[in-house]
Amino acid sequence: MSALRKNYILHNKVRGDQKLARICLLLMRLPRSDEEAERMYGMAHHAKEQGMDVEIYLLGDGVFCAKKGQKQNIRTALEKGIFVRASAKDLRARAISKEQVEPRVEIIEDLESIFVEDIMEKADRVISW
Amino acid sequence: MVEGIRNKTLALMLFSSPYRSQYADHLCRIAEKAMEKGYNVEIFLYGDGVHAQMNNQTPKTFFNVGESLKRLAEKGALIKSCLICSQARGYIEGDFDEKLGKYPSSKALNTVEFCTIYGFVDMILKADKLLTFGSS
Amino acid sequence: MKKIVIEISHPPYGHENAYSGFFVALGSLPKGVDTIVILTGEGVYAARRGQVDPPKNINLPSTEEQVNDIINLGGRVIADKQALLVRGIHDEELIEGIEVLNPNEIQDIILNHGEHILTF
Repeated sequence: MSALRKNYILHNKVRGDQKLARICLLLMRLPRSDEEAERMYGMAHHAKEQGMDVEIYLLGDGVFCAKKGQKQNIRTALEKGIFVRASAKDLRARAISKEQVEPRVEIIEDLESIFVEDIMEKADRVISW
Repeated sequence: MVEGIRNKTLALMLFSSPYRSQYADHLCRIAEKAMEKGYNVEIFLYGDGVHAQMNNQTPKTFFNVGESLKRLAEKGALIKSCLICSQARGYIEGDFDEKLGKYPSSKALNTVEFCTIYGFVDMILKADKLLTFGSS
Repeated sequence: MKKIVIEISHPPYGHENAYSGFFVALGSLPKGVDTIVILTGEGVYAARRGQVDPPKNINLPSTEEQVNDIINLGGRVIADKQALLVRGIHDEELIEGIEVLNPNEIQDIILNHGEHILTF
């Protein structure tokens, strides 16, 4: 085992007592590649596996992630119990009807407002892409 | 305004210019919502994000980012801008003016405060939450 | 002590992202911020050593020097093993002091260390 790897394990053990409960991810665009999709959704899945509540917010071009029938979308996330909220205004503007959105995605009229409340009052971590 | 949350601060970093993408719009709308709810809002314009500080933006059909930043500043949002990014892009016209207490710029919104990267780090240290916009 | 994670996913020089991300780290470390830089996706190209005089050759500041300065100031720079692998970048090409970790280990760091997470 390398010294760096030992350092990594130690580092994470020390921090292990800190219980994180909730993470919010704000997606304002589609992933540019499969690799990036894996990274964005992978972060969500990993946090979920660690027992955290995970909420993905889709804003702007991010709402395309919720459209049914594409190779990379948020279905796997939803199946794992990750919550997804999408901006109703952005969906409408991009011609994505309610029926074309993955079931269980919550469509929200004033997404920015809900998002701000969530990150300021509930979330431990927030990442925006 | 909701009591009890006044002291919480949301910091927002913008890294892309307005109009080419929606990131600046998203930042402004989130900032406006945060202020409505009584949170402190601090914004850092970085890289091409400094173009959001341009005076007299008059988009015919697009969301007016300049006006939004002006409104936010009037309501008490702190808007800082990266000094060297602004110098590189022609916003700064000379050395620090001791009398005015700021760098001269006729092109930037006068509520914008120019600072080095340490100014941004101070913002990060103070913030309860930080969001970054427009790095793609 | 405040902890931040800076995630860079763009290659150096063609875009300002990598430079600007490293620059934040170079501002936060002297102020006592516990700073970790994660190079992932195309950002792993910034982990390669032997960048020859970028100021002279292409009129841009050296990101390799920035990485060295971050490490010398006590910051950690981590490259994504998976992203290195798919780009054919080997360990011996990396700037000394850069750590290589798996995506899951990186996600742990982002969760545990990322009191604030900046994406570039």
